Amino acid sequence: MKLERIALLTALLALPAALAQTVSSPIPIGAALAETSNVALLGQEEVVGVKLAQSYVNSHGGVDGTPIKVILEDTGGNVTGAINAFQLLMNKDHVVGIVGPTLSQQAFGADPIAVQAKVPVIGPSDTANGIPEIGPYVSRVSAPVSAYAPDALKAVLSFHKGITRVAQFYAENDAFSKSEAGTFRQAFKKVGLNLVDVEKTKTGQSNFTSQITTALAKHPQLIEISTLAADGANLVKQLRQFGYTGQIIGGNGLNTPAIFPVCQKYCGGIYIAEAYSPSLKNAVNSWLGQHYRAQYHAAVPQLTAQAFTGVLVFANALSRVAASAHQKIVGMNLAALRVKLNQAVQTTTNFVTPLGAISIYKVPNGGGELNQKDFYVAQIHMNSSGKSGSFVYVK
Amino acid sequence: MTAGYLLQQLANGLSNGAVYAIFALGYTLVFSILDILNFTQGAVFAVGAYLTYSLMTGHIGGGQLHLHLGLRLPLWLAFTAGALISGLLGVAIEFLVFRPLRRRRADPLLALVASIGLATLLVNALQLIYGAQNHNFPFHALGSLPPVVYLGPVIVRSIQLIILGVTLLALAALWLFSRSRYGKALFAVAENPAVASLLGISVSRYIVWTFFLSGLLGGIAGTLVGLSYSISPYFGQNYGLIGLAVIVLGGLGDIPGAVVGGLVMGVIEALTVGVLDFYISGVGSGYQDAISFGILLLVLLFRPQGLLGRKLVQRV
Repeated sequence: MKLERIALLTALLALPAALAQTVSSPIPIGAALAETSNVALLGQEEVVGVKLAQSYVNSHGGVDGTPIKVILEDTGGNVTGAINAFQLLMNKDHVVGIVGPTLSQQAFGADPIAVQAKVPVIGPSDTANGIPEIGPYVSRVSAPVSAYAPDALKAVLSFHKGITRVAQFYAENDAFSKSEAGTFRQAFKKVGLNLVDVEKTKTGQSNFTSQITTALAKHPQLIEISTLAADGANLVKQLRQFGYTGQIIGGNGLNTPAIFPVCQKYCGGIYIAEAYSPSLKNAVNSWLGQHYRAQYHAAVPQLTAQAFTGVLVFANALSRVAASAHQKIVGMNLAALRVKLNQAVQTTTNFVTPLGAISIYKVPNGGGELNQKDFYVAQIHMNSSGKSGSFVYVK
Repeated sequence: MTAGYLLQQLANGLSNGAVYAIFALGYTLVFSILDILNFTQGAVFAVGAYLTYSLMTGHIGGGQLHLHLGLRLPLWLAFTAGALISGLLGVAIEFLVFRPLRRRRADPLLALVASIGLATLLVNALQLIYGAQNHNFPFHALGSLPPVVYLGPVIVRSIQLIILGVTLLALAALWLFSRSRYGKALFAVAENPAVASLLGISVSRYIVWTFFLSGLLGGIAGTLVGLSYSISPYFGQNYGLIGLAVIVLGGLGDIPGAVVGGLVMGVIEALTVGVLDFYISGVGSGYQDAISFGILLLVLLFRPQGLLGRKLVQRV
């Protein structure tokens, strides 16, 4: 109720300004990402993605000849930070649309404000169930976990026959982890696995020995982990140190090379469901891989690719709006453009991105849901020193 | 539920409790002298860990900065240097924040808020320098020490045993210190600064020493916890609230109380998960904080002065 009131007030304050405002050059696209806090581990990968996307779009002619400019606002790790960042981007920077926020939890708090103000939002890593249903201006380029979690489970069961007992660890105070864990539980049920133990953790937790002792007393053969990156990596390290030798499936939170310095050699063997593969062959993914490697000497993380895709989708939608209106984006009425841009985003069809060919379709009474064709399952292989590793695609 | 299982959970609780205890020691030391809560302790804890990490790996940065120190110290030397520099940071905090506020006779609440502000600045500076990503001490940091040791049916991570040992050592050192001339002077300052001053004790010098010791302990704790898990700019903050609960449970300003409080808190948490989750999955781990803090509340209802704290006597 309180959030709704804030959203309404913000919308009322923003509306007159937006009505009078026209789009400036370069075309401002907002990025509300977690640059600080313990979520910055994820947010910083996305910041790299949106910056590279700006370079890509501008080096390929911009939007109908006009360059774009990605304006970053730090959301921190909580909902309040995300709301502040959205307000700044909408009302101070007059952006045409926003890529963000980093966490689903933040999206549930901040996206309603953009919906009220009729500003299109593209979630780069908001994979919890119910994100597009927040409102008609909310879309995402991050596949819902229900789209790919069962794939990872099926792959692991096909590689390791005879698994019947599974345990689960998830961060109960993180909306995405909770939602992902629910999806995995449904998948366990579907394939007839016996869920012997569920352990709840908290974001920022580093000691898991009590939960591990309890889980291992129930002799699981497979453990699924839905937590944020560093927490999950510490959990994996302690699981292995406490003698667990069974299989581990990591959720989306563990889908980042940022876990390597934490669990080091113990990261080896974890199966991860992936919505992105650096080895996917297409021109835009090759460009991304080449430019990312030149700067960071590593393979592109999934979150970087997704944030890159978010900006790309906006740029593509802006080009289509310009084409259909037979005029340049710069100088258009901002409020009217935002409405048209949102419609264009939600009619994205077979658009080639680093995630492969994607489409975005409008869900009933909501925004835009992603339709992505290609999903992957990777297994982490660590090198002999245990310092670095790679995601080896097994499906 | 077997006896071995319960023993394992008890060991888990004691090892985690040792982390709480060593963190709370620095906290309670300042409180015992100045009656203020120094929330920079979590940040000093993180700085100590990063200092040891940098001195050991010869590398500073990862965020906006990349510097090579040109030297790599062995763990024990890096650890000592990191702890000493953390102690000096504690002194700097006294000069920059607490002393000016005391001079202005500021409300203790202002000191608390100022310390939260400085802690945020320090943590953000760490993120600027090192980035948000986690850093891990090299695998060989602890030499040939195995990752875990088996004590009968119980598995304990070696580093946790070291933390427990260091916590008890720190407690013993503080006890010995309290028996010395300097220690007695320090506690005289804590009891009544005005009277201590009349007795010829330099109050401000002893306060500086308190901040040095608190920072030193923070640096030691940060490195040990970093060796156990991994380090990130925010990892000290997670211990801030629990550290506060620990010193309240043990008795505000009571040094052995901080250790007992930490160990008790660790054991309560471990047994909450171990016993409840054994029968109904997710209940103990889901309500761990509520149950632990509920027990804390119950203890305080019966012993408001904490487990080892002295009862306050109001003289009329």
